[in-house]
Amino acid sequence: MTNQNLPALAIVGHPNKGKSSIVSTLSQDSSVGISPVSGTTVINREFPMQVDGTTLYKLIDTPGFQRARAALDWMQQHSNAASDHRLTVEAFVETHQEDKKFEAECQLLSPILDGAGILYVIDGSTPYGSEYDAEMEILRWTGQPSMALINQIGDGEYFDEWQQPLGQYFKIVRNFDAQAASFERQIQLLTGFSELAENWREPLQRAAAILRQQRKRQIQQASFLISDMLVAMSNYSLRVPTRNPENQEALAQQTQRFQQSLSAMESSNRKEVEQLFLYDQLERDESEFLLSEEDLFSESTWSIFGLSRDQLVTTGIVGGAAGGTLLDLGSGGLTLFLGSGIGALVGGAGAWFGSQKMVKTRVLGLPLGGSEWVIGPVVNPNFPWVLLGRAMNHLQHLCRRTHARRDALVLSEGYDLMGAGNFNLENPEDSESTSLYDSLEKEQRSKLQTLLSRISKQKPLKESERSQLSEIICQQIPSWSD
Amino acid sequence: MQKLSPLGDLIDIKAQIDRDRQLERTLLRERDRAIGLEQNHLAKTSDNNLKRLRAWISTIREEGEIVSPGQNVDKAMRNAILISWVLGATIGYLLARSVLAYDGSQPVNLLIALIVLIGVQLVALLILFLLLLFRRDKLLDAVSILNPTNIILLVLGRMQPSWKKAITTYSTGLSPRRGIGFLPQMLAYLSQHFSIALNIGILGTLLYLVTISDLAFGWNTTLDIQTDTINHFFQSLALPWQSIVPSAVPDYSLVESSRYYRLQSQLRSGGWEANKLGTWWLYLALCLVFYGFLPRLIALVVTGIQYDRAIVRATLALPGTSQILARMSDPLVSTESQQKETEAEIKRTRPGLLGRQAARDIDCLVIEWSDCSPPDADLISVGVQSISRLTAGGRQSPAEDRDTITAAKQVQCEGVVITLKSWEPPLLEVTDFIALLRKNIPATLPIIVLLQPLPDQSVSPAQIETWETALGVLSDSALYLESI
Ligand SMILES: Nc1nc2c(ncn2[C@@H]2O[C@H](COP(=O)(O)OP(=O)(O)OP(=O)(O)O)[C@@H](O)[C@H]2O)c(=O)[nH]1
Ligand SMILES: [Mg+2]
Repeated sequence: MTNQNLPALAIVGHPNKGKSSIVSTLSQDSSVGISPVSGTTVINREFPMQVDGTTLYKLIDTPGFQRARAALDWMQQHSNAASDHRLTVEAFVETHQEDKKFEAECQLLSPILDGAGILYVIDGSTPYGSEYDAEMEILRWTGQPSMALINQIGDGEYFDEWQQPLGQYFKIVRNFDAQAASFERQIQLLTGFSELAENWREPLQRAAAILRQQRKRQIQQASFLISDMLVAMSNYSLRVPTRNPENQEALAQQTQRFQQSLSAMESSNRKEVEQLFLYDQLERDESEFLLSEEDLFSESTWSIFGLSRDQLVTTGIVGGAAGGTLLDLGSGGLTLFLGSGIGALVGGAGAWFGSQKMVKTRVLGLPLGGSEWVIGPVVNPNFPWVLLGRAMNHLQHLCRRTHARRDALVLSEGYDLMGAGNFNLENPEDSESTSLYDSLEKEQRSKLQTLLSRISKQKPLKESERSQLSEIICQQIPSWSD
Repeated sequence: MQKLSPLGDLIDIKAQIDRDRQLERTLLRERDRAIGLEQNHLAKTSDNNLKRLRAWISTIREEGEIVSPGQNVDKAMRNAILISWVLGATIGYLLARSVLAYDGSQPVNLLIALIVLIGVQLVALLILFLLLLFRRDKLLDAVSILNPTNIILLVLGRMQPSWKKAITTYSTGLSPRRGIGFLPQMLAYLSQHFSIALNIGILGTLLYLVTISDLAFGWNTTLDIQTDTINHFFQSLALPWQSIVPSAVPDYSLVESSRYYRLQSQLRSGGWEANKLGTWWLYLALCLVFYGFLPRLIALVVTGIQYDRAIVRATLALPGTSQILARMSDPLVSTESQQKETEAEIKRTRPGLLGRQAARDIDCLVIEWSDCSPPDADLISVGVQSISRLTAGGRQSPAEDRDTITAAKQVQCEGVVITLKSWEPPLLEVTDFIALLRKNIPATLPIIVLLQPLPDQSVSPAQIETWETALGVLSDSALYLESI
């Protein structure tokens, strides 16, 4: 017998009705085997919710019933009165412990006999059938508190049809969409389990509070990761020694490397954010942002002892001497695209990449030791906006996702700079089509503008500014404020 | 393992963050939370962040056998300070030796001694002060090129390239947020060590020369300056100690009589008051203390504080530190299973094992599984003439299923059709039933498993595949799969 105060829930039912999916979502565990082939789960697996080593509750994923009628038949033959039902189930499990025939039944019944509550999962998109009766009857025989959960795997709507038969066996019937349940819905379900046993209320409430905090921390840390990425990517430049600074082809190659490094920075940031939300192996389908090559331009400066031109100018060591040999290959080098207001920037990022100068490229020739190309940083002031828009889009998708999903995380093609939109989780139809930027309050909007323009000018962010930026990011995530 | 300096810890923290990237997330969380719980006495305020980070890295250092680049850096830093001292003292000695060179023919020119030994230092100090005041890291960078400590670093870098690499990487590429390097501050701090040693070298040499030889001091200038002015200058320099060591404050007559051309005649006549002139050395020594040594001592403290702050800033700005702090202070929440996942291996059957029914329009016995009773029209559409219907599964007991099989044996037919709900998963009790049925009827009599779709739907290929797989394990060559 497990500790009666420790809420334990055995998720049981017919095969292939989403038992493992529900467990996977609730336990934020992507390692759970989920597949359209029935009989995926063959042995029980426990999912304890632990806080600093203390278990607050546990979920138990089980295989589905395979020979419920035969099992019930055995029990009926070995039972003398309704009062010995539970004992009969215990006797059944004991007798058939080694019996291959009732492997699934023994597996799924043991945690229940150990005191776990029953979560009986059915699929509300397919109709009720008499073959479910034996399962439900066996579960009733155990005498354990129980609840029925109606999952929704397909498009069919047979919820009403299920109410009556489920109502016969279960006092509590709930709907829960394993793959699409929002975080709040998950917490609701979790706290709802306390209806099964009064003494579960306290640990489950505590668990819910802790999970909410965890969620908040995840979002906040993600926002810090994102702000740090904005700064890192906006400051990034690539220095490559070269013998032939005029070789445009080689320069183009290096520029491509520069672009790849930026992409790598972004994607490693994505990975870090995903890991925060406990996704380790998430497949992501996201378009790469492109810095178009024609828009790169070069400007040459000097370098000595690995110092940048700026540093050299300040030291005055090269000063005038360098000035003469300074090759300015690209004229528009320092022109920044400062034109249109931010409002006009909403739209496909590709469009501006095509028309704007993006990256500052310089050639540093030095009399003492060759030359080097300095590619970057990206000077287009829109750059951090694009990065932020993409990162927010990713974050929002991630927050909306459940661990039961095994498909790739598809981030909408041709991302909308700030148009990721205010997606309404509970009611996708009601989602406003306004852009993220529009959804910001005026004050925050200008704050964001100030912060991002600092970033795009490679200015360092103070700790307080980093917090401001993080705050703005967090507020765009639905489960943040509640 | 001994405690490292904040710099050593910073270097190690950075190295550990890099190593941690290879580590599994859960292990990381467990490790850091355990460390965090150990230092629960430290309040989780941001003031304590550095302390907590340093405690973190020192625990990791103690527990794991990790290579500690920080230790090397600390060692190198100690060497750098040592070299600064040796170099400073040596240069101080050489400088003093050349300025205070006295062969008895010409007295030491006080003005030159003051300018070279103190004036230059004061100017350098002023620049440093201005830099610290206006806090431009770029300027600090720039000045550091002219800094003798740069040479020390260069030498050290040659000796220990890894160290130089560590320092430069961490000072420049430290963080996405710029302006948090510490190299300028470190150089400024190191150069104070150099300068203090320089002053001690000069002072020591002065005292040494005074003890082993008679030093005669005088003053001379090619500029047209009145003795009055010079007297005033000497006396104002002596202001700081005038009440403590009154004997080291020159009076007018001493200044007057120390002028070169006066001295020279006296020297020639041999009648100069060596004793009286000798008091100049104490004056010079005190000048060195008050305008060389003490300001440098103050500068050492100030740059030391600045350097410490820079290290603190750099440590806290290190990407990854906020995550470490979070992992230490946040409760370790785990919802995932600690058991390994064991998925069923899916037994794939050879495709085509379950052939499509060859014959058409055959007379069949229909066994309806679990209330799955398609109308005759549906059966005809797949070439099946229902001659009799029996039921199995569903609410029926296993005994009743066996009765059904017994009854089936009696029916004369060209095949047995079992109707199933295509949307339900194939349970083992279904295959049990089919196997039992086969045992009771001729091996060649076709058994046709007929899948019925949901109303207004058709059987999906995935459902067919699922059932094919499940039925395949029966290895029954007269078993067919059909769908309505
Ligand atoms: N669209 C959708 N599919 C779901 C949902 N829940 C489960 N599924 C799918 O249903 C199939 C079965 O899900 P599982 O979670 O493996 O079901 P199970 O009950 O654990 O199955 P067994 O372990 O075989 O007994 C998988 O293909 C899931 O992707 C849902 O909420 N929405
Ligand atoms: Mg499963």
